[in-house]
Amino acid sequence: MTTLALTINGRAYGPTEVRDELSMNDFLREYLGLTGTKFGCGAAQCLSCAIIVDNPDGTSTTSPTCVVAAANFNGKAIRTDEGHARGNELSALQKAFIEHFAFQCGYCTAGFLNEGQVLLERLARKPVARVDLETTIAEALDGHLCRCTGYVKYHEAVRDVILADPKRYLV
Amino acid sequence: MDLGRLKGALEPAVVVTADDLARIGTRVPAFYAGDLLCPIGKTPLYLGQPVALLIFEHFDAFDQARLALRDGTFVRFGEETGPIVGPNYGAFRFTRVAGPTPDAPDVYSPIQAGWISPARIQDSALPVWSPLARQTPANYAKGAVYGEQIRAELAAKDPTLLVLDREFETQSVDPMFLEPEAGLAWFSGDSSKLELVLGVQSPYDAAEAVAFMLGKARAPFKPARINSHFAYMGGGFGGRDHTPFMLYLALAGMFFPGRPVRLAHDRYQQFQGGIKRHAFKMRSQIGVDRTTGKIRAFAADHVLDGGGLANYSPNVATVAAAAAIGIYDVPKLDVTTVALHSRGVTAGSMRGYGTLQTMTALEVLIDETSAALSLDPIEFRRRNALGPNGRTMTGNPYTVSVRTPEILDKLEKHPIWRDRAQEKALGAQGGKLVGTGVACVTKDYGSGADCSFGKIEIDREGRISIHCDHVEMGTAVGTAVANRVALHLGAVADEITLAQIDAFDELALVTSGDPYTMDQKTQDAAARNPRWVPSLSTVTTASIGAHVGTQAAAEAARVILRFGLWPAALELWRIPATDPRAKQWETAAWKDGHLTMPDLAPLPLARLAATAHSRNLVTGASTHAFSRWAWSRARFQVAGVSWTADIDALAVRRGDGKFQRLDRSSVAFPPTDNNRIGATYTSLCGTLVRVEIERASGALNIAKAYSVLECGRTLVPEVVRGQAQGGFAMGVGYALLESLPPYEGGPGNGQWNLGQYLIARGSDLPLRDLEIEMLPPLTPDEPPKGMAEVVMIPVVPALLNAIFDATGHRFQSLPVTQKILKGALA
Repeated sequence: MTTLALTINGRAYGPTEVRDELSMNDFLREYLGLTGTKFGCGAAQCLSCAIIVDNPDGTSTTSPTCVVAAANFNGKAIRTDEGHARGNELSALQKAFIEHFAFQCGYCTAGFLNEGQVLLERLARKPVARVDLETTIAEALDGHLCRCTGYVKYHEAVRDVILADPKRYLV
Repeated sequence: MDLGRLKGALEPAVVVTADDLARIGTRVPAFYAGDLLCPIGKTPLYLGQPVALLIFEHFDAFDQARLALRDGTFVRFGEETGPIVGPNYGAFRFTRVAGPTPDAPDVYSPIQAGWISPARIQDSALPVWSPLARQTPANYAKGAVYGEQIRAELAAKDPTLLVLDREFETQSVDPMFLEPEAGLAWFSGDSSKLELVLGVQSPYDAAEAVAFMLGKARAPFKPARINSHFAYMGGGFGGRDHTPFMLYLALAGMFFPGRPVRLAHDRYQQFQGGIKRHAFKMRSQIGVDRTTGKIRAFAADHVLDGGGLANYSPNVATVAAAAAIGIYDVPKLDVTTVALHSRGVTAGSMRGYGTLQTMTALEVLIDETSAALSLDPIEFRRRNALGPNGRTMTGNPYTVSVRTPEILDKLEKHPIWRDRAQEKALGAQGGKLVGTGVACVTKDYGSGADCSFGKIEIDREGRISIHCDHVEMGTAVGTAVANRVALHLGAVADEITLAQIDAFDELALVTSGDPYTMDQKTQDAAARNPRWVPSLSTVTTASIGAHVGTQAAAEAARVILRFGLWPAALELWRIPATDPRAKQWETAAWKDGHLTMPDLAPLPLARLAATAHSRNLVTGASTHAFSRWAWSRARFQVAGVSWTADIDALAVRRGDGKFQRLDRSSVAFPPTDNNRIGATYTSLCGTLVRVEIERASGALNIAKAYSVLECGRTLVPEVVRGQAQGGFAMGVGYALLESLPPYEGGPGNGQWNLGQYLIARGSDLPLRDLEIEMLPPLTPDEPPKGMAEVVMIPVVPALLNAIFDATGHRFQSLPVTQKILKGALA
């Protein structure tokens, strides 16, 4: 057993004892009821389980949760699907997903949302040239699997959020 | 089972085996025939057949046990027996010989003579197709004689006829919806009620199957009541249509009473137990007049690997065969098809339903044929395209728009096609193999016996609620039904409840028989009961979401408009019944939430609704619609007015009152002979792709693509586009990436996951150069047509044709992976 304490969506959880091999996905879903994080493959291949990890240096990355033990997140701050909206106010990216009909069945959406949000925050810190934007989005979202939409609308939604605020995201 | 490995913290609370199922008296519904759990001492029906249900009281025990058992050594086997050899699941022959002129009756066709099968009992593994075979039924022999004549013509050395004889193989693949199958079950011993929560494409049939399974079980394993709640699903693609999952879920609940049980596949289990797409082996022969470039004859033989259980194998075989000539007008046709039992994982419904396989083979063959005739591939297609009144494989015409010439024109004029030679040359200069491919297909929508329930209520404030029995799995059924209802009621619903199969009691409908096989006499007799319909609730499948899934709700909305909102409007406009305008309800139009008529003040929906309520007008309607390649049509008396519509049952609510059933005064159900039809509803889609291939590595890049489709009125254009984009991605996966070994080493071993099974990622697709064009409807009121399957199909042959254009290699099996390409180019 391992003692686990972490911050999720700005709220402290733990310390609590968890089995060493308990996955972060199961910890979120089974123990905390945070079912916005999905389980797709259990092999870190589809990334529908991806969450955001906020690093101490102010940067953020995504991490799969299905193959990573909950214990690995001890002391960390993470964000999940439930952490994007502020009350009833959806984030800019969430609104863009809806406006673009970016998702259909919705099962992969949490992963795309987290990855897209991390990209937005990265670009806000380190903007890219407009000419590099398409490649930047494609590289950021690639690896997240969607079986319904063919990905185009997800990319369009992320692009629109960036182009709506070029001073923030683009060189 | 090595249960000794599951001791202490890993110990299951309950172990359910085949013996337990026998002991409590479960019955397996006919559709799922076969042992649900493999009994001790029997050879499994197929690789991966479940052996037991292990139910754990706590998540931690389950979690530790599943990890401990993942190495695949938990089940102990006896001596090798070899696989079980089972009879085939169905064998059929579709033969058609057209008359001497297009207007003349066919000499022979399935719609004239019925669908035919050779005798089921044969000594050989494959059916004996000969009309002279022992035990041959007479109706089969007659069709087979015509079929053999067609084959003899193709085999004759006729110098005026170009004959190509080709084989094509397709692979087994997984639907790979993102959410593995899952559900909840809770059997309360006290109330004897079994509660189920699950997501399936076939709610009514799922509930019925569970009821049958437990209907004769001994106490306390027979629930007094089963309450099924159907949830939205994380994708379906056919793969959640009639899977046996809900049977295991219900059993889990029954064997662990008093507590909620969750059964949830992980991805390994989903690969192991989920329904697969059929692998096909096909031989196709085409005979084309060398002078006219017209197809004279086509013959094909299809062999489907159905896996361990029958499931939908016979249906997939027939749908695939009936679609084997795609968009073409061919006067002589002969197609045999057989679905075989094997030890593979069960195959069943999946997007395309067999037509993906047969039309891929066809469109690759068409490309080769046009090249052999030195004809442009689009011109060859145009020359042979079936016209709007032409006859399909089964001998009937389509009853909807057939816009092949428009589609072909669009393809021909598109820059991807127009610039293909130039781009190929440019690629060559840059050291790349560049090729362009085209394909055009037509795909039916509907299964031949489809229906929907729809109930709409509008409250005093004008808020609209909709209940519908069709399900949402990422296809926007909910949005489609809301948008279609809004055409009649002026506003998008405030509340939509889908997958409801028990919300229409006011109609008090009953059914009997099988709508696919019943005879006319039986139907006529049954139809005398005004509460009888051929089927109550069917599967959300076969691209029927827009066409069928929204039909009942749309008709209910029309009733509310005509008998609720319209008379309310007349009162507010002070138009008396004697005024000619009082009958012009169909010319009224909604604009910005207001009902409008020329020279009259627009009326907001809320005011109309309030008036309808206060005057006790119709404020709710509940309907049922049935289609057997044509809608049922019935007449009712509503508010003293004769009302005829494409529905077969109606109940209305007045004001705030209760719903009251209105018995139909006459009904015309589609004739049972329509069961001989292959399809009357169809949509078209054409695709162009340009590929760039690196000779050294075999790496293929799809540089550009264009799909053009027609689907009548688009209820949710954004999702139609999304379906087309998603269909493109799934087509790319099927053509280039996805494959499951059929037997040993395949998914039945429980070791498969997305590390080995590759589906299309964003980087596999031309995300910035994928153009989708939807033809506008022919008329403003053209009904919506199904399109979710047709958009996937041409992608696959277009890719193969593009690869041929780039490399000169005509691949006749799928998938064409990078490794295979590299080998071919070495």
